[in-house]
Amino acid sequence: MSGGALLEVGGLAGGYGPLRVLHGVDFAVPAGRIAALVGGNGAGKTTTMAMLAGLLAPSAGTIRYKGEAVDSWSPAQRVAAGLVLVPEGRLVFPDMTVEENLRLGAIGRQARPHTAEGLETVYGRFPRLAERRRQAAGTLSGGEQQMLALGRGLMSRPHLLLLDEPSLGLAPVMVDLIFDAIGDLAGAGMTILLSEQNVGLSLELAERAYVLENGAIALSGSGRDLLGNAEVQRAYLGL
Amino acid sequence: MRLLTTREAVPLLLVAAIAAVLPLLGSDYYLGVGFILFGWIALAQSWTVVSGLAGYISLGHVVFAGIGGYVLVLTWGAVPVWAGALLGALAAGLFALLVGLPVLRVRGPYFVILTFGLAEFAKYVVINIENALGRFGRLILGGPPLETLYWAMAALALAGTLAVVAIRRLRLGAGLVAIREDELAADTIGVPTVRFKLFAFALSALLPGFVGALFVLRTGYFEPAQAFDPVISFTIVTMAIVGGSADARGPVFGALFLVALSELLWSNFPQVYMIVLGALLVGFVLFAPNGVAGLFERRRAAAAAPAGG
Repeated sequence: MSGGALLEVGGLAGGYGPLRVLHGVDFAVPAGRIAALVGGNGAGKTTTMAMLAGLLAPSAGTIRYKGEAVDSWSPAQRVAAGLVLVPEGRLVFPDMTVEENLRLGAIGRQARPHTAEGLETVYGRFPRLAERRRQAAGTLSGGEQQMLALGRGLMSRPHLLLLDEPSLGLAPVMVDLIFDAIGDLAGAGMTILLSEQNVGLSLELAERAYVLENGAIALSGSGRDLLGNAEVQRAYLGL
Repeated sequence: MRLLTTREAVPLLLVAAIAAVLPLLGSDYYLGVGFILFGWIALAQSWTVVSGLAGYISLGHVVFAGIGGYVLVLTWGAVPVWAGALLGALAAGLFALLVGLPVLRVRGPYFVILTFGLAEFAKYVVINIENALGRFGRLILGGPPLETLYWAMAALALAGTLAVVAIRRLRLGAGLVAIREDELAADTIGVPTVRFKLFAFALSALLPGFVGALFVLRTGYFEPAQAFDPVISFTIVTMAIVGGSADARGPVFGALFLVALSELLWSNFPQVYMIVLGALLVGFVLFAPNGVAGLFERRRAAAAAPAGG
C-alpha cells in the first residue's frame, strides 16, 4: 500500500498536556494526489496537521515523509524538505503588504534564490493578489487572505502541501475559488493533504480520503467511495 | 539593490559625522558627552536586534553591560585592557546564550518581567560575591585616556548601527520580523525560530558587554549596584520608544534626543528633568508609538499618497 506514498503516518497519538486528542491515527498520502482528512469539529484534524508540521510533538507514532522518519525534525527542517503547512486561520502577517508576506514565504534557504520566480507563479495563479500587492494583508477579505496564505505556502516550494481548513469562514463563492485552486495545484503535480469540515467538496476532490472521528480514523477509501457511503452521507452530508 | 537606502545611510552618516565633529570642538566636555551618547547608541542598537526586530522586549539589558564591566575589573591587571573589554563582551554573549534557551520560551509581558528579574538577580549575585570577598567597589587606575575611550565608543556605536542595518538585510532580519509579527506563522513558513531568537539574543548582548567595560574604564571604578542599575535598562527602552526601533534610525534619534535633553535640562533644571522625561514618554506612547523614525515614515507616506480621498 505504501507504493508511491509521499507521507505515511502510523499510530499517531497525543495532544495538549493531559488532554489526549489523537488515539493512534494511520493514513497515507499518495504522491501527486490529493488526500483528504475530513471530520467534524474537535475530531483532531488540526492536531494532526500541527504534528505533521512539527509544531506539536506526538506522544507516540511515526511520521514518514519520502520514506524518512521526520519525527525529530524541527518545523524549519520540514519546510526545507518541502513539507509545508498552510495553517488554520491563515495566519498571514496583517501589518505587512501582500508582497512582503509572499517574500517571507520564501525565507527558507532552498526557496530564497527562487523568490522572483515564485512571485511570478503565485501572481499568475492568483491575479487578485497581484492587484493588491502593496496592500496590508490585514485589510484583505477572508478569501483573499486564504489565497495569500496558500501563495505564501507555495513560495517555499513545497512537495507536500498541508492545507488545514482552507474553507473555514469563507463565503461560498470564495470556497469554490479556493477549491478550484487546490484542484489546479494537484493537476500540476502537487501532493496535497487537505483537512476539511467541508466534507462534500473535499471528497469530490480527493483521491484518498480518511474520516477522522474522536481522534481515530473511522473510515477510509477513495473520495468517491466515501461520497457513496451511507454512513458518511448521513453524518456529514445531511442526506 | 542600492548600496544603501536612505533609512540605512542616515543613521550611519549621523553617527560618523558626530564622531568626527565633536573632537574638533576641543573640549573634554564634548568628548565626555559624545562618549555617553555613543554608549547609548550602541546599547539601543543592540536592544533593537532582539526587542525591535524580534519583538521580545527586554527590560533587563543592563545585565549585559554589568557583566562586561565586572569581567573587566576581574581581569584588570591580568590581561591587557582591551582584551579585558573583549572578554567582557564575550562573557555577556555567553551569558545570553546560556539563559536564552529557557528565557526565550516565554513571550510578551512574561518575557519583559523575566528579563527584568534576571538582571536584578544577576545584580544581587554580584553584590553578594563582592561582599563575601570583602570588596565594596573596585577602583581602576591608569585606564586609557578619555580620547581613546571616545573613539572606542564611537566605533561601538557605528558597529551597532551597522549590525542593525546588515541584519535587516539578511535572512536573519526577515525571520526576526516574522517572529515579531506572528511566531507560529513564522514557524510554518520555515523560520528556524528557536535558533534565530537565541542568535539575536546573544548578538544583542555582545556590544553591551563591551559598552559596560568602557563605562567602568571611564568612571574608574566598579560598583555592582551602579553597573547593574535598572535605570539603564529603562533608559534604553525609553530611547527606543522616543526614537523608534523598527530600523537603525530609531536608536540614533532616541539616544541623541535623550542625551541632548539630559545635557540641557540636567545642568539647568535638574528638578524638572524626570518630569519632562515622563511627560515625553506618555506623549510618544500615545501620539507617536513608532517614535521619531515612525513620524518621518508617516509624513513620507502622507506625501506619497494621492491628495484628497
